Amino acid sequence: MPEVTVEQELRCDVLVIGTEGTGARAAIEAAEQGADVLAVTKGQVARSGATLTADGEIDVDSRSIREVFGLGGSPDDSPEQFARDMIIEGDYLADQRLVAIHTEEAPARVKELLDWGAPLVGFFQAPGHSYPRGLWIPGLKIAHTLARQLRKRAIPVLENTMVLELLSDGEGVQGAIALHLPTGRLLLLRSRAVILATGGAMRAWPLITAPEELTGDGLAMAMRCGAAVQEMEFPMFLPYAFVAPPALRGVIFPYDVSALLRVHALNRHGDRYMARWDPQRLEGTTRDINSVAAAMEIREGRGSPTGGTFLSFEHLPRNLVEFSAEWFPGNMRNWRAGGFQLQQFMPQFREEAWEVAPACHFWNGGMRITEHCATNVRGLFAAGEGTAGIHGANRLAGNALTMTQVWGKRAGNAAASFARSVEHRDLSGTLLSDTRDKVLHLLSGSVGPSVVEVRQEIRRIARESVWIVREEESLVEGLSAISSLRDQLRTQSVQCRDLRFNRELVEALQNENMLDVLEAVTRASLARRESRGAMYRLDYPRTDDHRWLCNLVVQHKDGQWTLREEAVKERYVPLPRGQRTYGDKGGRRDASE
Amino acid sequence: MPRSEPRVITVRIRRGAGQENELATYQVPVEAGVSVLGVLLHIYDHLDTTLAFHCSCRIGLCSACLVRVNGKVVRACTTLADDNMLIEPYKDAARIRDLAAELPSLVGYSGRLHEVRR
Repeated sequence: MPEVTVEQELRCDVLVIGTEGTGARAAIEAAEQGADVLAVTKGQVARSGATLTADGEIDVDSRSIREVFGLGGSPDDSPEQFARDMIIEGDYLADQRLVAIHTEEAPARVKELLDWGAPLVGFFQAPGHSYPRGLWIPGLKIAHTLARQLRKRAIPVLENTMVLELLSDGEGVQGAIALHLPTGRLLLLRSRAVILATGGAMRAWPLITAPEELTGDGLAMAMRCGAAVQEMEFPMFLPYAFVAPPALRGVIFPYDVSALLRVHALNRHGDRYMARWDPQRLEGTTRDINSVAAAMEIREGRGSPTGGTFLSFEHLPRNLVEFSAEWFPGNMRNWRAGGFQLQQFMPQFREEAWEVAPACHFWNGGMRITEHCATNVRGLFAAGEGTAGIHGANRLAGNALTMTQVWGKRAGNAAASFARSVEHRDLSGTLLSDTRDKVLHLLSGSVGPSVVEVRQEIRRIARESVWIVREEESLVEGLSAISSLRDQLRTQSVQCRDLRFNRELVEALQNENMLDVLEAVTRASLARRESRGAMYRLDYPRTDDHRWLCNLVVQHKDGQWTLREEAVKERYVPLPRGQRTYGDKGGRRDASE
Repeated sequence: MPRSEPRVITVRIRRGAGQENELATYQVPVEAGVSVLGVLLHIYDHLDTTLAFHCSCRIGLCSACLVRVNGKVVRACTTLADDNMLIEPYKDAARIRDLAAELPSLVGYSGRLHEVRR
């Protein structure tokens, strides 16, 4: 039996959990405000997390692209117009006040990145945007840029350290308990304020574009100490991720190609099925509608053998496809997808359609926050992916990276200010010994299901009950399966007794977090009896603004789940009334019109 | 994509901590076009859950899955698997256990506890 020891505690003013786009930006700002900051990450800085995987754009309004960045943006755009697009394409669930802050502050935040040395490699217009707003700064470069700033400011970072629970006494949060993965030691991290910058729980689904770490740890921990979450029913899927060959599973079909090239999405009959969903924009529609359409083709038996749909160049003469690599600027030139050279797969791709399927990509909802990134739990702040209000039911392309910078800085500022106003309290309680007991119990050789089996069951439930297209019967089945699985969590059988980088132990702890988040998703999906944005209900296929123009707020405390509805407030974008066909968001304005 | 029946490949992995040099041999069924990372994940999921290794983005960007395959340092996720592979930690000095190593930190404090304790 391995010994689990507790290291001497570490103290700071502001504890930042997550160190990539959002967390790094929050840590930098909190330090600028004079706070003593400690940042902690499950992986390593700029070598883990979602930011570095964003191989696309960071968006600001097109007028600022012209005025602040000196590129050919459109003078007709404005932060207000950008905000209107976000609210409409988010299917009206976003918090209009937060969105206005987002688009107003975006240019200054992105300019900072360039001033800190991040390279701007191009700009373009992505689907759903009325104007070209996509500044192309590779996510990996953003991560490296922010890492340099952390280093320059000598902000201490604990790498390879997984936070397990927040230190909370019912009156607020003051720190966390963490597992140092290289040694298996538990750490007590005491702080006056905590910022969660931990992202979503995409890894609960079988096909994902997100990295390994995104298991909903922050969301689950926050919920366990009473934090309210909303828009949990809208995990975002990208319609076109490779399903074959195995090495490419979950790799995004080169975004620029699907956006800029006339690539056709086909079902197994060769029908260009998007014509039934968005006859004008076809594949150029937003990603929520593309994903719903693909999921319906697959569900109704018109998909590919591996459970996807097809992307085809067949409408282009083959000797033209030969030149396709030259049609795009920047890193598309060599047919790269992430770090993959797709060139090696080109002989097949020239001959055949590409098999792709929707993959879980991003968390549109999450913790309910104020404009100062405060959650409803005192001392707990949150920003970036895993917070709600910015994207509503669907995120516009390019806003994930913008979100990291705008809201990371706001969280850092607010948490530093809060930390000045409170003293460290002694939140000893039993949480530390409870957590230690939990880890020891997992290592004690239980005879329950294996960690891998539990993870596979979580993914089965996610795929069958809360994939893109849902209905009451399978949602109810999902809740029941979640409940059975919950009973087995404590008896997960961890075979590996070595505490050093014990992958099984980490997965066992992550399984609990994923299951908590999955239950919130399932409960919210069951409650929302309509189809909107990233969620399609087969039994309620219309978008019902009369009944469902509200945020479903979920809380999970002491084993009890509660749901309440908060009406969306109309501020500067008029809210629709009545009912409409799914996908018809109205108020759309294309620059070409 | 043309599909082929899974074949079984032989994979040797250098296991242990520090300088330990225990070679474990696995027989792994693979489809055509599987990556080295896919092989490691298969071993962990189906054959041996005690194997320590890292991965994060799985698309060739983060470098968390650096390993040495037949003597050459590569990213496990973007390298296609082959029969008779020898997989080792990317660098012995950075190794914690099996294939899991700490990469050089890009921030000043490398995550070692004594450096952040005040």
